Amino acid sequence: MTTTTRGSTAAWGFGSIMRNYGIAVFLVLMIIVFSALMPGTFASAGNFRQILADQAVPGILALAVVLPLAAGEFDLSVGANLGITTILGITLASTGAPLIVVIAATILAGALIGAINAFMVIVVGVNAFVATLAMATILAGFNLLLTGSTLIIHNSEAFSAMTNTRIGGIQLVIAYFAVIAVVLWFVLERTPFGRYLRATGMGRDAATLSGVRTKRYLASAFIGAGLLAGIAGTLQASRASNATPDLGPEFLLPAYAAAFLGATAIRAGYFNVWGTVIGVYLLAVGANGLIILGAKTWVTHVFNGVALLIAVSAATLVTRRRKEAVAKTPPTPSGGDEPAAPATADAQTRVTD
Amino acid sequence: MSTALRIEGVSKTFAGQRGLSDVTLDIPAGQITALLGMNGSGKSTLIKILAGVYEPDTGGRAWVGETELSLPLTPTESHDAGLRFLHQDLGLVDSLTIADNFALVDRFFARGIVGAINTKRQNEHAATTLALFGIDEHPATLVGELSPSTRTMVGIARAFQGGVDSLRRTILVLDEPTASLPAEEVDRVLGMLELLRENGGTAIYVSHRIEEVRRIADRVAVLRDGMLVADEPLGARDSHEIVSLIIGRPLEKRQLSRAEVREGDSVLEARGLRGNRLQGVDLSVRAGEIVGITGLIGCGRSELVRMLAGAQQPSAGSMRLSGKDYRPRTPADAIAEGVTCVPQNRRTEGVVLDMSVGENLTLGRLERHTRAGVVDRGGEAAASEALSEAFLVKTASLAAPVRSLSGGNQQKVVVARAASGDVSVVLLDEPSQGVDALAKQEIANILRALAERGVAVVVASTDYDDFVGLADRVLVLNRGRHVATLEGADITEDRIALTCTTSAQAG
Repeated sequence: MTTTTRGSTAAWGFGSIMRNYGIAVFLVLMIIVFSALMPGTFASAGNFRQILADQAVPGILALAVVLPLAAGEFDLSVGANLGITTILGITLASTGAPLIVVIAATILAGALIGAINAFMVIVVGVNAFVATLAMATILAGFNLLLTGSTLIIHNSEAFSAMTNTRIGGIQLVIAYFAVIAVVLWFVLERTPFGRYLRATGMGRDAATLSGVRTKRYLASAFIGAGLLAGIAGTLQASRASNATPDLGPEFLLPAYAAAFLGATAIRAGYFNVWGTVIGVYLLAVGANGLIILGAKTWVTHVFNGVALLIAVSAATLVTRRRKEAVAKTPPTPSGGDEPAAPATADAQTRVTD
Repeated sequence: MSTALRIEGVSKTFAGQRGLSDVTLDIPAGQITALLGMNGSGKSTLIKILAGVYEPDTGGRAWVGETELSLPLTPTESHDAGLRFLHQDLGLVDSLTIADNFALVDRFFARGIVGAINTKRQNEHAATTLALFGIDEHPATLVGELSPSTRTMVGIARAFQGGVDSLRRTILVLDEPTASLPAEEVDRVLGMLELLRENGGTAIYVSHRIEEVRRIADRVAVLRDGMLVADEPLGARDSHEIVSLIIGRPLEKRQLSRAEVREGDSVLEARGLRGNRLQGVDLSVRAGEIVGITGLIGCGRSELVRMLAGAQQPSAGSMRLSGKDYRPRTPADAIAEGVTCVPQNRRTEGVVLDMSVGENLTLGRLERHTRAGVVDRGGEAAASEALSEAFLVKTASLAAPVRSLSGGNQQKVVVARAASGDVSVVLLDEPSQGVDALAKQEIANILRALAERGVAVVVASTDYDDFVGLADRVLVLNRGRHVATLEGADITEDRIALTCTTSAQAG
């Protein structure tokens, strides 16, 4: 039982595939079923390309929330961040500012919002949930101010071309999403930064006492989330060419849903890039298929919620069973541990020293 | 004198090991019985069985007065039987008033669960109980605003809300109630317990402070390795005799097992360190030396270790490392200068439970295995493999989560990490807490080997056995001050225990 918790060492049985790649299997099954039901409409290259492209911006936002989640915190401001950076991008583009200025200013604005969040949480010590919720509310107010409470548009063809250009029928925006996903995967899984960020999320005290400068990693997580939300906003501005004053918040919950769905793969509670990407497309394919089938809009909302509940419950149950298994069996090959209970009892009386 | 509580043949087995072995004990009514024993002796286990937290092995029986209780108890049954528990943290809510805290364990004066609370009646009810014990505080005072001793007294008074009658129906179990109190405040709490006894109250008093026990208790019950080894009137037993009962070992003197103590230069020095508990402590550790730090709960040894490790900032005082100023602001700073730490609470501060053994071994040291900003996974695995072999970490694989390891092996992971790389000082806080005997021995051997290499080792512990045959010097702290030093052949469990308790009495 000491070897089973990781995908790499688990046996390739049905159970382990479902445990580690359950949502991927589910996505494939859904595509097969919808394709069988609607070979002409759902299963068309055009529809698949549309789903891929439409989900690039929400997908980047979902990757944005992976950073703070991996560090053990919530950032509820990424949706509003996307909103204000989109509006900022459109406003700047409509003034005829050079493309590079539009892009740089928008992305930097996103990162700056992340930096303010980091300051509030780490330096001032405000609970992250509250600080980022307040930030989201403030940004929603600024959105009304910046737009004058009306729909805004830009007519910059160069800016639009940045995302809408097709190469071999594929919109460029998909390439940005892919590149960001690969880079973020690499940073999280292959660099000391990623390891320390995860240690910060999984055991902050132990990480700090082991010499990890956890405050820096927390700050990086918020700034990184802001940066990615800013990129998502820039791409949204480019792609949509218009924005309403209330843009943003509706992106927040799907992003978290995708990240949590993604965390059911590999290891329960392990927020990761590829799981999140699959989570984004799982929700999108479900909604798309149901709508083409003729379902009303409310059905897609119910589908999203139910999918999330089932996936997270399943992952929770698997984890609990695993931990109970660990608790019941004598721990290591050496055995001979002191009875756990009295040890903790003594620990309680000693902690206060 | 009638019996308030009788326990007969109660045992508790944890994972095949006896935590409590066939304990039979009578607690006389109207007396204070001190329950004594070292950490791990079974005191807490016994208390938790009475509180309904642990389920005892079948076969044990218990009575309150004439009524037999049905074991295992639930917390509600325990409460209904008149058993009340006061833990060290008191279980009071600081942000509520005294009256509200009383109501939390008894009842709110309200009609039904959603009716408005009658604050006036509630305050009057609490005021009666406070008056009974001579606590001069208004019931509407927030608990957080009370002095430490008053908080303890409020915690005790809360157990007796039925007025004078409830004194005789209640058995109060106090678990180290004075551990975190300054000396001058202990008297007030002891005075209150005397008042309780005069009114016919019954109490079980758990403490490591032998002088308090001698002052307040009528009887002593001593547990050792889960067995009741003494249950008798306190009589004229002196501190030394009580400590001998607790330790229960012949007065043997173990030889220092290290061949020689290196006379290296002083590596780490501290002058006048002050903090929440420390009241100005000096320390000097030489290269290759193993220094023990001990004292009773609340003496400040953990704080001292945390300051040396950069995890806490001293409010006054200075530190020098190899002759240079040493002011670590974070543990990362300390590690960069070669000072590493094995923290007290292994599961929250030592290891990241859900990370793998390998990841834990290199935590905070990954830059050693990084090339061009990328983790060199082959190099990291090789280093972890070497570390886990050298430090005898028994694990199925380096990829297994640390959670799956035994306490001893988890601790070896933490020690291995602390000892890896270019280290000049290793600090350990309670290294043998929750560690089995074999691993404890292995860790001691590792520390000896580190010292042979010229590393300065500081071991803070309340398990005096940790120092025997290992430490070159043991510093005894009491309430934030360095009060005694034991060296060489004086480093035995009973000498240390005696020094700790007698110095506490003097302080």
